Amino acid sequence: MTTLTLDVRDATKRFGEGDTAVTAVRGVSLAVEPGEIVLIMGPSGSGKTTLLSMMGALLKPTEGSIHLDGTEISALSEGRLPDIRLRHFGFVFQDFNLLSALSALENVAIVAELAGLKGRAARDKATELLTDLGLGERLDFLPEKLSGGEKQRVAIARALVNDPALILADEPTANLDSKIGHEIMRLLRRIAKEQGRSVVIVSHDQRIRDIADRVMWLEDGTFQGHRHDGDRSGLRDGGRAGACRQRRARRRDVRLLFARLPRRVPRRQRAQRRGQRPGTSQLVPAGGCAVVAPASGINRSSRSHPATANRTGEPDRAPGHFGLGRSAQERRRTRCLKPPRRLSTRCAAWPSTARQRSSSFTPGRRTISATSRAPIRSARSPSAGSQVATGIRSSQRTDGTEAMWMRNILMRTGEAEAAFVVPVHHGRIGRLAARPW
Amino acid sequence: MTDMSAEIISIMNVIGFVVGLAVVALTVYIATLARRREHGVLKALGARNRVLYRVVLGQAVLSVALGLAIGLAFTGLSLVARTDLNLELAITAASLAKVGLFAAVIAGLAAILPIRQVAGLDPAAVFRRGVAT
Repeated sequence: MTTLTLDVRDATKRFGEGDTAVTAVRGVSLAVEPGEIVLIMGPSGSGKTTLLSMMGALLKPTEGSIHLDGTEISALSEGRLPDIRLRHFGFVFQDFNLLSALSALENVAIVAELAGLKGRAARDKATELLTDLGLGERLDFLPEKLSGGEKQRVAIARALVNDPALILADEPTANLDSKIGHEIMRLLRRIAKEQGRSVVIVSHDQRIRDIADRVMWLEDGTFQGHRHDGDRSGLRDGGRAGACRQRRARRRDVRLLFARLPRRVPRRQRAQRRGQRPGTSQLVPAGGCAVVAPASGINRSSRSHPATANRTGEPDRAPGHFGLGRSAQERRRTRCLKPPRRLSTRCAAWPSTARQRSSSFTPGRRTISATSRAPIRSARSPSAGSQVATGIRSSQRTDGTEAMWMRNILMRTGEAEAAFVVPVHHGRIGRLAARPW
Repeated sequence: MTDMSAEIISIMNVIGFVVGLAVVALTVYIATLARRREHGVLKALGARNRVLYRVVLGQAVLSVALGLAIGLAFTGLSLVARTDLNLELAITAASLAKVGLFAAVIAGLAAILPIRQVAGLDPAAVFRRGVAT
């Protein structure tokens, strides 16, 4: 029988009491086996970080229990938890969280010293780990002198220094570019498979799906679904083929998300409903911020609303700048979005070159327009004339999951439509490539 | 006249103690505040509170020791340059020990507030971006 490294049983975490109580995680169960990589994804506010904190003995569940190698850590006293965290868990943070006054070597050694290793032995162990991770030449560098990838490798070395059974990573690739992010993920995978450590990753980053053995989707504090994935081909060619597969997987996910909604109306029919010639767009970038308005008939009402109207008072842009209206160049660019028969250079380079891309969805009455890599500042409901969500994504690096965010907002608020506002410096809407799913 | 001088010196000692305590306490408090996130990270990684208390106390002791060293250096300087002063300075081992003792008391008192701050840190807050731990 397989010994489970970590076993979360019906864990619920509630903050506050009475009317003001907020349930961040509801009855979640998850078993992580040795050497397994579990990726937990989900929209912001879905409870991912709370779950990760509970798994790492940083928070205690309000209900349910968490077991580590058979020991119920959620029942241990507060005084015993630091020792559990020190010896059984390795933490990798999004912001690296290295101690700025200490060198790379000292950052790793200090954690070994906390676990009782004496100065010299701790430094030797830290040196060995950092050298293994390719940082032998950077031992005495302060964190400020290290690149993002190097900082994250120092953080991984720090997580490994006490030989933990479980590594918990919170958005480990969020502050890294795609190449370094993929390297870090392959490193975590190597650690998991070669050393038999379990790795639990919380992330928005769709590009790292291929690395995980299991992908769980957390929404509103509960798991909505999961995927076991044995496809590892993306790891063999520097991630280029993997990038294409990830894009296909992402499209598949969004299709699944929308499966419960009515089928989308064909583009031509949609345009006819608006009384518009197919290939023309009504979306308007505004001064100060770009307003990405819904693309169907509801678009008219959204434009009439002051919050979503063109703030500069300029007429709508010419056809082809967004969504339904696509120029020939944009259409060529979107060819890459189709599952390629074989890997082409264009397809491999697509994620970095088409930084600004958008998605249009028309599932029945709900129309969603998404601008990838553009942090969404707020969402407004033209029908209700009110702001339905604010500060949705303001600081985090975006990764193309906006469509899911938007869909979640519509589902939660019960609104049929919303306009999503993105900052103009991410906009360049006039040069977006449309991405119909 | 002698009594009055002694009184003045006593008052100056008290003022010096209070000022010294305020300066050291503020220095240590600000230093701890600046390192709050890093202390939170250490707690999350598994550092016990007492380890962090030692760090804060060490910082306070170091600040006081530096102040003491600078004070003694100035006193030595005044001993050398006393030729034109109509004042006799007598520095005994007992007075040095007394100053050292008071310096230690200052260090201990100055560390109370930062230690309370460190004790109240939530290690789970390291996962909350944009929120100071």
